[in-house]
Amino acid sequence: MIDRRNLLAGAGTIMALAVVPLPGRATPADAAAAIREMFGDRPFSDGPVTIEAPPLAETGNSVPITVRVERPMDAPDRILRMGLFSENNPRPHLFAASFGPAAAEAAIATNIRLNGTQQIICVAEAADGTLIRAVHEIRVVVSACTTLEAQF
Amino acid sequence: MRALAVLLLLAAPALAEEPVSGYDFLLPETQALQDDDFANPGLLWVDRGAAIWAAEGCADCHGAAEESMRGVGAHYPVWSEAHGRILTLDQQIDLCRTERLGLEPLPRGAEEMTALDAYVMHQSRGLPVAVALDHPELAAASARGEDYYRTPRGQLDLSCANCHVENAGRRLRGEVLSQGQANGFPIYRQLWQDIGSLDRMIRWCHESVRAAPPADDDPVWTDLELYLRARGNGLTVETPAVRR
Amino acid sequence: MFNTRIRVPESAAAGEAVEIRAMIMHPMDNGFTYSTQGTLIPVNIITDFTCRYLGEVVVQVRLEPGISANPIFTFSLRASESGPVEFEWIDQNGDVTTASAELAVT
Repeated sequence: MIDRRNLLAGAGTIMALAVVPLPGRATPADAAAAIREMFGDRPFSDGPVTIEAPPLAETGNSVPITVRVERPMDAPDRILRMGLFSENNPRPHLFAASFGPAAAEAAIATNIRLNGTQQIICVAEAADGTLIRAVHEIRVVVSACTTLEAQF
Repeated sequence: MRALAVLLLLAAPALAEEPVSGYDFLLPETQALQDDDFANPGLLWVDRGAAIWAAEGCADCHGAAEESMRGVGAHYPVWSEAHGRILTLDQQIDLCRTERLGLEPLPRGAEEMTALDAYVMHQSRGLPVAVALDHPELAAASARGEDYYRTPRGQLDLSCANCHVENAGRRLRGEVLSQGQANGFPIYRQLWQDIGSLDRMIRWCHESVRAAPPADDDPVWTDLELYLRARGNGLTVETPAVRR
Repeated sequence: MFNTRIRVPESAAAGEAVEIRAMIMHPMDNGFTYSTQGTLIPVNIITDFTCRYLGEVVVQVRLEPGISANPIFTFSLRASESGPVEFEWIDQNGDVTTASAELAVT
């Protein structure tokens, strides 16, 4: 039975939900700005950088990704560091990794959070100053950031 | 291959009687995470449980948990003749701690209890869930638990059975509903990015239908756990399971 | 100090690429979730992870809130001599957690 009290309570709940601030989203421009901030304005060249990720992630809270550059670690254009960027998360930086002389390959795997279906961008910097880049789209069923999680 | 898996998920019928583990409702990546003996995040709490086991003196009576606890968790909840009531694994562990080790009882939902629970249940991983209902008290409690399970509640007026029995295998928004089996608990839930006991899951489900969970001291918690675990008889224990 | 799990093989051949895994228990609060009281849980993350082998950096990661909770990293190092593989995590408050394992190289 819908009476006036129930209706107002319901409307109040909807309003309360509406004013809860949801996290903003980055845009591709923010990701590009973050890349420039980390690597400067150098152009990108083609290179063997790959992002391995599932095409469909059922939870955005933990998406397994591997970023890899197939280059020997003793070459003059070996990879020194790489950054992973998001085009749609509230913050465009995901992580930055640098590889020391003891690393066997310029590759690292971890789990990241994704705010819904989007492209992620990996930029790698080589020892000779060149930048290489890969872009990868991942579809995400449930976003990590917009689930208003209570502690139950 | 992945398209086939997704298609099978979409086509999965509402499964009526035969128990199916929540594992079978996951995408391959989440299944792989659960199966990974290093990277399964729930194992961090199993490790913590092992540390508590060693520090609190459980080993004094039980020795190495890998031997003494193997198969134990798969039978809980049990009827305790000595205490004249049904004991869940949490309650049994807390009784051991208070009666035999002289420790303070752990508050409900304490992370240490969930870690110990995960550690003990983990020793039964791979074994079939085998909760007995032969004692008349157990049968009565399970019936009360099933009654609770099938009663609609909350602002959304839904019962557990509405989702997990009548619509298991169908989609709720973007996700496929599982049968809500308990064979993997305590689980690492991606939504919480944290370990979760069966109690915590039940509270979350209540919140999802906008219902108040039972009071902390309500005996229906035990009835419900008994019913839920017995419902999964035959499934393998997967603790720590990884779920969405 | 937080719970950690590390995986370093016990032994390797000289020159072999060896897979290393390291995980730490940490909520990596991203600053967007709410407590049961409705208050915003502030950002609380591990910010840096470093793995060293024989004192030299293998990999160094700068973590952001976009890394999942209980962060795990898998990478590989080039085995040369027997020695320690050391792991260090630093959180945003500067608290340090360490772990290490011996790698025997034949």
